[in-house]
Amino acid sequence: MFTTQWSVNELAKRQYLFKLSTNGAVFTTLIVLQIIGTIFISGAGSTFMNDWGEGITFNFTSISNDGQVGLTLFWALIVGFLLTSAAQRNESFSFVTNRLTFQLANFYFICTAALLGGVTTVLLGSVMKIVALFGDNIIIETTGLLTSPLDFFSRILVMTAYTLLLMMIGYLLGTLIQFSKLFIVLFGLIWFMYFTFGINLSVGEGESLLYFYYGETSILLFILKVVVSVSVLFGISFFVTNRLEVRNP
Amino acid sequence: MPAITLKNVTKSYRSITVLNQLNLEIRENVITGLVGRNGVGKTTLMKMVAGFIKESDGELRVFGERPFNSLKVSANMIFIDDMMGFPDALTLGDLLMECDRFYENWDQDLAMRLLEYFKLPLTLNHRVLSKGKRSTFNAVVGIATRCPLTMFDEPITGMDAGARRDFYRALLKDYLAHPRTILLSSHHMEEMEDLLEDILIIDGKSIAFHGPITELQEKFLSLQAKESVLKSHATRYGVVHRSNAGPMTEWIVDNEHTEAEVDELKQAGIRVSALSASEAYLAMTGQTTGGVDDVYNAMERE
Repeated sequence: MFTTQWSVNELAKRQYLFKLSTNGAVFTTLIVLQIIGTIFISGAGSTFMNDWGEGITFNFTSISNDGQVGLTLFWALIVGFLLTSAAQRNESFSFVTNRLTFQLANFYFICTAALLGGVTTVLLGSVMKIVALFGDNIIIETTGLLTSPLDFFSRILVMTAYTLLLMMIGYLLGTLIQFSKLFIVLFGLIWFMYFTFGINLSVGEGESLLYFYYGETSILLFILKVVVSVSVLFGISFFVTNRLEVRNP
Repeated sequence: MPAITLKNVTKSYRSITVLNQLNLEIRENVITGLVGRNGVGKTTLMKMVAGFIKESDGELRVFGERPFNSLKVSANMIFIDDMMGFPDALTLGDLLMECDRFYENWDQDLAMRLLEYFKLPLTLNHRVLSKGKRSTFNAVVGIATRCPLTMFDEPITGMDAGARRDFYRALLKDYLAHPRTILLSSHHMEEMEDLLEDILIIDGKSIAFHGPITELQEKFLSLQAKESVLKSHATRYGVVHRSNAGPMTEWIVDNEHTEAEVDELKQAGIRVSALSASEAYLAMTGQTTGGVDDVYNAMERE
């Protein structure tokens, strides 16, 4: 007879804690990537000179942490993809789980990782300012936590949202490939077409798919768009994985 | 209520049918041995019961629930084999803590003591263990979880003779103290014969035998004599297996003899003896010596 009864929530939580303890390397990788990004890409600022012709010259240098942002997003895509690997599944299924709790745990893990990625990447901006301070005769014009807190937090929010989005895309790609290896061919083909023929992933009048997100000026609408996209991506992944056999030869 | 019920269950991978129309009831709180030749679907059956893979057709119930995607079945079941996925990042000690997190009946003290006895340090990583040590660790997990349904698929792979003996002993002791339904598959039936109550033999995609081990022992008789003698006296019985060892020929026949018939056979100079369960199993599945000789003999003739 059954002696143990778990609720879905309780088990999803335990699977999530299990994932956190087994996937510590994911966070180490992020930190290493960001250190690399800070050391090697931090110089990627653009400098221009303004000469008024009266003996006064201004050097404007804009430094951005776009490099770290790019690296974090890349990391997000890979992490999402890796979470769907057979090893991850087998590890979870060595303990108590069904496909629902397994996926929920994955989703919680993705949210955690996205939050961490978002916060650290934005905070790296502050590191960049400190690095810039070491230059001589410098006047820094910037916004920060104290001068415009709302701006600061919205940056974290947006960065987290993008990280989450990228992770869910990676997760969906991985899920589909786990479902059938034929998807590798399909994705390869799409990739090839995109770069060879420059087929524009357009929605409506010449707007690219990405513009759908970055062109959004209202933060609430942006968040709504991301939430809906993430739900759709997770929904598809869920539907596909829910029929997947584990430990299949 | 039986622990596991199968009604016309079929499992196929694409076009290959592994198990065909199985009907089966595994009794609760009984140790059942699952035996059969390589590739007959023992693991497939267990994985279906574990809810890892989905039955292609028919009705499969574990404690009344369909196992695929059932949280209840997963929480009350553990499936142990040598391919179990354990994360690289965790040490054996960490893994025990995870078991404690997931299994309500988990006995941490027992697990620690067993690992100490088998000389498995808690600081080691599962990945670096040798094949035998890994099997031992997995078996310890299987025993200490005390799940109402515990399945071992070839648990003794790579274990040395001492470890195997200890494993069977520990399993039996723990079973007696905490009765549960245990499904045990192995190719070494002679080793686990003393442990088992029921035997399930799978052969050729379906069930060849399922019942108490004593029933299997009484199912056949071994008749040994010169071939001519056997041919003149024993042809009315169904012969399961024939083999030649020196001047004597052995026939394994269905045990449907009356006392008088047995006496008659003995008087004709035929040695009549009973079979052990594992001999009966080997005969039923055609594993007794001599089979592969035919292949080589045929090659030499060409």
